[in-house]
Amino acid sequence: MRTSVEQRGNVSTVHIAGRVDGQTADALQQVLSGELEAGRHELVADFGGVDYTSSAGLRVLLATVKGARSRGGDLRLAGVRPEVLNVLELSGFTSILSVFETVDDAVESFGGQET
Amino acid sequence: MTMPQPPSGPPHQPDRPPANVLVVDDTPANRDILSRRVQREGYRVQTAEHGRDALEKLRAEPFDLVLLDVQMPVMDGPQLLEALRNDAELAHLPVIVVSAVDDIDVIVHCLELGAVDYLPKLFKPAVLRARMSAALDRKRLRDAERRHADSLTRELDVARKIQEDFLPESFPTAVGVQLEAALYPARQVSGDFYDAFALASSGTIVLVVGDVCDKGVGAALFMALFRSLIRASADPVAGGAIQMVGGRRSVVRLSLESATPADLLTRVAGFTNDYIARLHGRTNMFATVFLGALTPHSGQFDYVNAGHEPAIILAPDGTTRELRPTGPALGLMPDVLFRAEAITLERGHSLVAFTDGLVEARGPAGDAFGSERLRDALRGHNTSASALIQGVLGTLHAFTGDTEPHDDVTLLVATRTGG
Repeated sequence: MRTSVEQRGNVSTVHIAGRVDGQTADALQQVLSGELEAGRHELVADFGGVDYTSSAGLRVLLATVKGARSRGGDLRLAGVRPEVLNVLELSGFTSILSVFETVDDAVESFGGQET
Repeated sequence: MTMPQPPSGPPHQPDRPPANVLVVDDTPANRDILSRRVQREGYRVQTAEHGRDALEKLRAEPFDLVLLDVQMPVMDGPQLLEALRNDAELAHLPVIVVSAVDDIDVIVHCLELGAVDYLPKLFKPAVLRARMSAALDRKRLRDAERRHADSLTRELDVARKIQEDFLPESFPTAVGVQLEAALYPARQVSGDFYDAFALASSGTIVLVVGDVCDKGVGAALFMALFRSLIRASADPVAGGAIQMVGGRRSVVRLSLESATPADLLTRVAGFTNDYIARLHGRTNMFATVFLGALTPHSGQFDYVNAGHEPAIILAPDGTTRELRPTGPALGLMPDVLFRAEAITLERGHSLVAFTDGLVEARGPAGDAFGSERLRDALRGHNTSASALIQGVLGTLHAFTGDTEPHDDVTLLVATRTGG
């Protein structure tokens, strides 16, 4: 799994590629927690490159969305592939997380002015 | 990991007995000189005349280090090294080769056979001291690591045995219903669980298959909690939880006895969800759980699927239908309202509930077992609950071969027999 972070206005987009599982979930958690701790609470997780996520990955999303909302922000997903979306839907994560078609849609949904 | 530096102080510390060293040489004069030198460094010394003699002594009592000559009668140095390497008890005993042979090939051969170091026969005491001390330090570190690993293994064995106690010892019996289940942990302990119990009041059989997120010890701790919350809230009388409240227990019992299975299931799901989300929210643990309630005589089957892999209803003709989620996984957020659905489990039909470790199990080529193979295996063994379980597990094991399991696998089948 690889990650990279991109800033647009107040929104941090974390691009993720590869498998999110028990081996890699901690690394993803550190990246997302790092954003929250740096005061960036409006987060987009770009799942366009994620071909698999285990429940360990879902746990990272749960921790992050709770952390972001408790600070007045949110975590939103973008570009989720059908097989991963199926996992999110089955487990009910789509009922607690907003999912957008594209990163642009997700970033714009925060309504911040891009400068 | 950092290796400790070779100590520059005394070779042994007062809180430790001196290391036990075996000097192996066929020349008495060499043995004596070397033994005295080693003794002078503060170690205990014994001697052997050749490899065979050494092997007997090494097997008779524990040693910490061997100083080994190369050329000897009966069994020479390389032969002893080979014998040690093939002996599980002695394979890790450090050996320093002491050789007059200036043939570098022999020394290399000994090192390849597992010797940790070598010394020329005309050594300086300081060199002997440094080499022995380094070899003994490595051995102590190794021994400590092994003891640590052994104690972790023992702890996990204890955890595994205790965890088995969180699975039902036996299943409820009801006329016209067969129940079977199996659980294979990927590691010593599991985040999967299943349960089946009859409600004393109505005879309704509650069936549970759950999968706590992530794996290992953390998931195993939460498995015990989820299972207990579900069991105790579904059946407070037998589960014992609300009996503790004392004088009010009959009121609680009455209110539950009059509840419909659907009410009961949604209440159990809501209670468990809120308990985890509120009291354990910081850990961000959750579980996907399939909860069912089967009324044996009518076949009425109520269920709440909390974010879990769809359960399968299998008909005698092999057709299947899925019981998909009716709500999110338990523990994500508090105050979720769970919805129950109802079907009739007709005679001859089976309910098959399982965890994703089954359909996501990988074969040697890296592909997943998948739901099609599962359905084919079910159709091919559709004669009884135990035949279904055995058939699916047999097909799964044939598919995965020796591939290491990456997730726990759990399977529960309830068959309503014909007639």
